[in-house]
Amino acid sequence: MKTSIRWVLKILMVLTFTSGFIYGAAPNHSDHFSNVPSSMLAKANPYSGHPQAVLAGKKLFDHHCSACHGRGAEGSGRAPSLKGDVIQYTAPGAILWFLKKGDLKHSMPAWSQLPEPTLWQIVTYLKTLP
Amino acid sequence: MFLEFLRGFFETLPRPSFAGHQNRRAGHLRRAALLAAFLVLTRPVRGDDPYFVTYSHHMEEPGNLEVGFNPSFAKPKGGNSFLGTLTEYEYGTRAWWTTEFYLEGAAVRNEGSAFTGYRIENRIRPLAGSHWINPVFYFEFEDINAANKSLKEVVGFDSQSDLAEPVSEARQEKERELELKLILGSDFKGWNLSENFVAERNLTHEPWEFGYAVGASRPLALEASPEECTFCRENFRVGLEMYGGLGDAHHFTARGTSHYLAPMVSWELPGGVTLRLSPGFGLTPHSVRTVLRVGVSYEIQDFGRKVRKLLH
Repeated sequence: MKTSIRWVLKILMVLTFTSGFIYGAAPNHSDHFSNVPSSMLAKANPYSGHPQAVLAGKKLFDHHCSACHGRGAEGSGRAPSLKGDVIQYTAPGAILWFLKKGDLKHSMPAWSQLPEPTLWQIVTYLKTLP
Repeated sequence: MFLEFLRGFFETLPRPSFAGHQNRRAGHLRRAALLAAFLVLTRPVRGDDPYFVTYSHHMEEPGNLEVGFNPSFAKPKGGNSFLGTLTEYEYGTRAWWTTEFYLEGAAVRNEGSAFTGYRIENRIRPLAGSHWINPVFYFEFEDINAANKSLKEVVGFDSQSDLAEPVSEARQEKERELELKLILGSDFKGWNLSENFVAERNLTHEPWEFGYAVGASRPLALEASPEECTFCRENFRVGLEMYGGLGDAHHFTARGTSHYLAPMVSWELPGGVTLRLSPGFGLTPHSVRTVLRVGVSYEIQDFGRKVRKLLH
């Protein structure tokens, strides 16, 4: 019995260290959009310019993102501002890709549980930010 | 009105100082009152998966606390009907690490009620990014007794006869167990597909026991509506889960084990509370014929940081 507990503890240690290495290799903030697959870069936002999608995106942003990024996406101590050039000059497909995969090392959750149309609505809202 | 009442209440509490023991106690009281008010007033946000037994690869958002209450109702053959309760506190330690604490109890008709134990679990998502299949490692320690009726998982040769055992006798039997799960999850076109492989071992004796849980769920609408609404399709999620035992290390088999099939629906209310309902149906003679599960949960945003602020 003691042997099997020892084995379990060994496995736990290996898993912990392995996950540490994987996260150690994760890109930093400046590299967020550097590895976007070309298929995602080419994706067009089906909701681009839809006022209803902007409103829906704002509602979703308030529910899921504002706690970290601030009510008006101005940023907080926990997450950066989403206003300004980075979002405006990044392809919509790249933002969608980043929302889906997150940046777990830097506390950005992966939002893959939200359906793609919902994520596009968030992207549509983000693109309206000044 | 309520806010004003609270403000007035806090003003009546003495402020903490280092002057003496009494003042220190008053300080603690004030902090406790502030924490209670914080829990009441913090705006909750939406919950996620509708599953009761199956875990998906979705982690709790970092710093958030989800509080849930999940009672199960059933009547095993040859036993009294019971209510098994499971109160859960799920905290997002990191984006890749979720910690959860459970308190459990049981109330059995004509037999009374009992506290049946606690569990602590950690879930770790080892791979960054989103993949076709996303693995999560689950480690749990549980200190429960045999009167536990939460049916949080089904492993080994668990059967309805275990649930029919009188509470007074069953609560004497301690079960300190280690539970490991491999959780695999995928999201595709709004669907979530999750598979869990369970291995559980009593730390004092008995071989490893195995089990499984699989689930699929989807929101009724993939697009969000522009305004806040109560009965919109996007607020409802439907799904199906199946779970059961797979014998133990000596007899790895599905024979003589119990299995359940459970459709479910969850409803996210605009205030942030999520309600879930799932009637489960036993598929083998060893399973309870019907298990009705109900869940109420809400998530408190940024809980960790706010508590730290409050206490400093």
